[in-house]
Amino acid sequence: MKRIFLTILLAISLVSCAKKDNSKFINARSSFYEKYSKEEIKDHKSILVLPAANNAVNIDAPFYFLSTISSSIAEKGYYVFPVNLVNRLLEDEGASDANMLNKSSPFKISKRFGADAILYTTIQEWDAKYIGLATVITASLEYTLKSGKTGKTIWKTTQKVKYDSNQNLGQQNSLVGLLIAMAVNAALDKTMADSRHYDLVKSANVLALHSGVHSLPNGQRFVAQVESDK
Amino acid sequence: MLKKLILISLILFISSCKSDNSMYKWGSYDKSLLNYNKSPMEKEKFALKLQKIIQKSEPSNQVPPGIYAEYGYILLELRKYDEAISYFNKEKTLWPESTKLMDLMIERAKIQNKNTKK
Repeated sequence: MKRIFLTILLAISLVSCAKKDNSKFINARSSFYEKYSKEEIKDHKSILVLPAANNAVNIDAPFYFLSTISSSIAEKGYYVFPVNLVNRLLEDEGASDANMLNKSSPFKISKRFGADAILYTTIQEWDAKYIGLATVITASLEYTLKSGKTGKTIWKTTQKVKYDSNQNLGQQNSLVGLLIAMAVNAALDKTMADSRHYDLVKSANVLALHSGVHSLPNGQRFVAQVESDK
Repeated sequence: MLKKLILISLILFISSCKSDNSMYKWGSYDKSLLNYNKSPMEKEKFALKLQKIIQKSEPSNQVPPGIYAEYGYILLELRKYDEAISYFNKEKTLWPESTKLMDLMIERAKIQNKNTKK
């Protein structure tokens, strides 16, 4: 009985996770972290995400960022303002230039929307290279959380991620196998171009906010959730 | 053998199925928003997706923050003013953090409603 149960468990794990191929995404968290005090962050219940400033060539990169950031913040226990609504309001007011917005004062934005903290993001790098049949995308995002109450930077990190379609080819030991694998990868690359960019920025967001000792500290709602489970 | 199975299952679960212990049910929010940004004319389609997320997350009280407000905003753009106001109010009730912005949106919806009736 136990054995059957466990086999089912294994099967479920395999099926539900088979789609995700995280092995091709390389986490290269680098750079520095601002020193923050957890107490300071605890006063902040809500986070407003500004559209990302884009220093990369890829003009779609900010769309990918804005579409994927909300869950990473909310699951940390913060109220995250509706990104599409906020983006449209800013556009209506003629403040759609993300590079300008990212230089604006946190006090001003906080007052306008009633947000405790503002997330400023810069896409520093978003580079796709095509080497033969292989695709390598590297992305680097800088996240800065500023207090709308004090104006201080309360959390900051830079996350670098890399996607390499050649990553799994090392296991192929015959030339034929290698060629087949490359052809398959090339075909996948064309149909999955969108979803690869999406997966890449999503993993950057999740890694930056959730992984390691320098992840964003949990907000008040996260604490409440854990306590109510007991 | 049994131990191995347990271990493998556990590793698989923990490593790639993080979404299982989410606080909220996000459904297709990310991808719907991405598609909407790519084709901004498809307002009805985005509205339907948001409606679906709400339907699926309401029964277990796992509506993600911002979803009622996003839905309200699309309704506003579709000129369904009364419905929009009711969703802005829902967001405000569930997330008091949004009060200032939602009051602003409700005010805006009321003004637009008045202007169309003139």
